[in-house]
Amino acid sequence: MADNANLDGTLLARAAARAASWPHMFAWVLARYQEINNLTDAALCAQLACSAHTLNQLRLCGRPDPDPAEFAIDVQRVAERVGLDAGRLAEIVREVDAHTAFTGANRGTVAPPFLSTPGMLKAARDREEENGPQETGEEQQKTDHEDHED
Amino acid sequence: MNSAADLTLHLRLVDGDKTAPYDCVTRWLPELMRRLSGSFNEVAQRDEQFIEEAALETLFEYTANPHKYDAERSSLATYLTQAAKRDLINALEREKTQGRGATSIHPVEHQLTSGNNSFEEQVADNADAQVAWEVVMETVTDPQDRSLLALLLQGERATAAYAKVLGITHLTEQEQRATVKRHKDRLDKRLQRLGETLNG
Repeated sequence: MADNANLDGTLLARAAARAASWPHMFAWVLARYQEINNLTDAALCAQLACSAHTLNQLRLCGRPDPDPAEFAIDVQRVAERVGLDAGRLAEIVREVDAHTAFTGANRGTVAPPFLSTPGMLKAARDREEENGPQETGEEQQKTDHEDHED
Repeated sequence: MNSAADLTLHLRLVDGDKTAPYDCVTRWLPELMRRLSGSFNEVAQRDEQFIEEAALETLFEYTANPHKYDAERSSLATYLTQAAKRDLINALEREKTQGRGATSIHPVEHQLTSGNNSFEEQVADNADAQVAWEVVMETVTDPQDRSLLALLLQGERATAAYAKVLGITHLTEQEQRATVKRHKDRLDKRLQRLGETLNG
């Protein structure tokens, strides 16, 4: 990566860690991905075949636009910049988006913007059918009750 | 200084370049921390983490909403520094409310209201912003390009808005998108070259 080289590794790591609480940052996506898959930083680096430094650079990039017209361009640009595989990055973002759509739909929350992405909700539904219901009967009743109240 | 390079970076952010947030953090984090440490010496000596967190908060807020910055009103450095100072003061207020620290907020307030940047620094920043803007305007003389630039600076994302300026609304949506992208890239490259030239 053409690095500006004015951030030392420690400061870069701390900045990347803070970025995880901002949904427009790639760090947010990666934090969800690690949570879903129970991955340590080292395991994620192994998956991406990159160093911890590169992972932190990726975290400080913006997350790809969910708009299908922009998504591929954004992923490609970020991948080229940090020297990672665009296909792998796209898979990670899609998995997190699908998971968020799935859990959001189950909780009856407002649909996130990426639901406009063709196939995204379908992917989430496919996963639901594949894995079976994730909620307990009690939780489902609670959701039903909340829906009823609305 | 609000150089053309800084303006270009800002435009990349506004234009939705997802690598721009990384460049913003590397460009501005050390400088904001230096500026905050200079203005809030006592805080910097006590706990530099406050300084770092305020600078990062400001930068992430800026990268999330870059269109809030008005290039004609102040330099980006001034804009970000003032925002970071507000974030730092808020953090110190929270700390005080939660009783985790003993630092009085008053010296900090005094520092802010009495001007953390020297008057000369503020004048220089504003003058730099004006100079950079004028240089951009001298370089971008085509009225159509200026309109495109104005849309970019306003944070406009809709292809339709750019298509209207380019007079290509009769084309298909896909053709419009491709044409708009070509023009944005051309403008971006031009500003980048300008930035490189000005930065020597």
